[in-house]
Amino acid sequence: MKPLSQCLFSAAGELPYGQKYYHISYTFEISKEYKVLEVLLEYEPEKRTKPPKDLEKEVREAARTEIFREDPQTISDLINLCPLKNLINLAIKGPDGWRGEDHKFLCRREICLAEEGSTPCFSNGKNLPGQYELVLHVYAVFTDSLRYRVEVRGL
Amino acid sequence: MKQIRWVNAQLHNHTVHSDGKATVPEMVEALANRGAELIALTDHNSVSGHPQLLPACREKGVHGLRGIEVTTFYGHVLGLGVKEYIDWRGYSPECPEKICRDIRKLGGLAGLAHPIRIGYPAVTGCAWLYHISDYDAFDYIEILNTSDFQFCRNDLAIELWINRLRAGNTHLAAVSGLDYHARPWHGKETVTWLGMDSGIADPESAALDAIRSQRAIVCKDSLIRIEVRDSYRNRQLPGSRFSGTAQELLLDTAGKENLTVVLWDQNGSQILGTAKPSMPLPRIEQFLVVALYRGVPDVLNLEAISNPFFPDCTRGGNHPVCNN
Ligand SMILES: [Zn+2]
Ligand SMILES: [Zn+2]
Repeated sequence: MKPLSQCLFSAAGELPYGQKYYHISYTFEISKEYKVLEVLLEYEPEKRTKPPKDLEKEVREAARTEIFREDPQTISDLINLCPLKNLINLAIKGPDGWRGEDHKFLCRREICLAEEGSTPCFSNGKNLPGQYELVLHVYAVFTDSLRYRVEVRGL
Repeated sequence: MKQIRWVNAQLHNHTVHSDGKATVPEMVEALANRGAELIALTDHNSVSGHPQLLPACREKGVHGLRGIEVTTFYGHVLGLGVKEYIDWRGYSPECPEKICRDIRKLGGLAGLAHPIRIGYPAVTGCAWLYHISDYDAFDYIEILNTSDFQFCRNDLAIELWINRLRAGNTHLAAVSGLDYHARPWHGKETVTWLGMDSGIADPESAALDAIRSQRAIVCKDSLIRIEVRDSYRNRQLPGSRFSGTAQELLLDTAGKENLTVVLWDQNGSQILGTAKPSMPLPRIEQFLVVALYRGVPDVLNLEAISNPFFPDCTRGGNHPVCNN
């Protein structure tokens, strides 16, 4: 039987459409060493299905100023990159330094931190007691809004 | 005298330790199978794959090079040789040099990744939106990133690099990157051949030394040797600073025929003609970059491009020889 884990920290929030280039930081204390820390990040919706109305204008401007292309083929190929997925990285710092960061386009991340078998993107190590920090690196929100939740549990 | 060995290197690769699909051993196997002898791991803001890299490389008989791709909102900087996570929150669009300083502090080389690529809203974070005041902060430029040809202007990246050499940032090396994410091959991939000094025992240090010394040739696949014979009859490799003038271009095209040779120097560029094993050179000003194309000189036809040679250089006297 799986031992019951204990909730050590949780937070939630909402981000508006168009939010980008933004860091959110949560710090909290963990009072004892846990063999395993489970960190959950989930948000919804995951992606936009219908292009926003100003997308074409934004794509055109990015193509013109960043890759110096304005031809209709390039613009339509770029617009076809839709549906646009929201992108948030989660970085975790423990009392003895950074454990890692995941750069993924997934709306649910279940991260396990342990001495062995930590989730890829995060390093193995003891989960020492002390101050922890979760950082959400918000690259882009394409959906009308984005509701997220983070939770840390100890085992 | 240095003994140089040319090594097939892939310097920009991702795995499941960021948004790649392959595990570290799968990535190493895939790249070793297509000829790579030195494989870097440069996951986005992540070094957690490092413990697996060197064992996976040993298993396949190749060398590993640990690194990171600092993946900020305003552009990406590769840190080859960096073995630690970098907290990137403090980087502002006005000062990308700080990223390079942090990379160098950790013993790495700072590389401007895919300098001309689209970003938000298509591929958020991938465009270079920083203002660079000091290109000397960078060690190299990724002149060819072959992950997405349509939205990454490699032609302009080459131009950017040549213009920086002309502006006096002559130390900037040029490399290519697959930006491997385990997507299907498309046939336009390239290889960075590094001239590694056999006297440096540790392969990671030897690879960093080769890039720092601009001893590199970016090729479509197999090595095309590009050398210069100077006025003292010495053979010079890319990256060499030598005291004689550049007299003759020496090419070994690995059996490829009908390649067009293009030269760049401080003042301009010119088509030298169809590649031959030995070609007399015109007067070169400050530096010489040599490229070979299949037919029309277009980036999609590029077969090889050298790092710069520096003739008439008072700091000369370094004449590496090749032993493979
Ligand atoms: Zn990148
Ligand atoms: Zn990359």
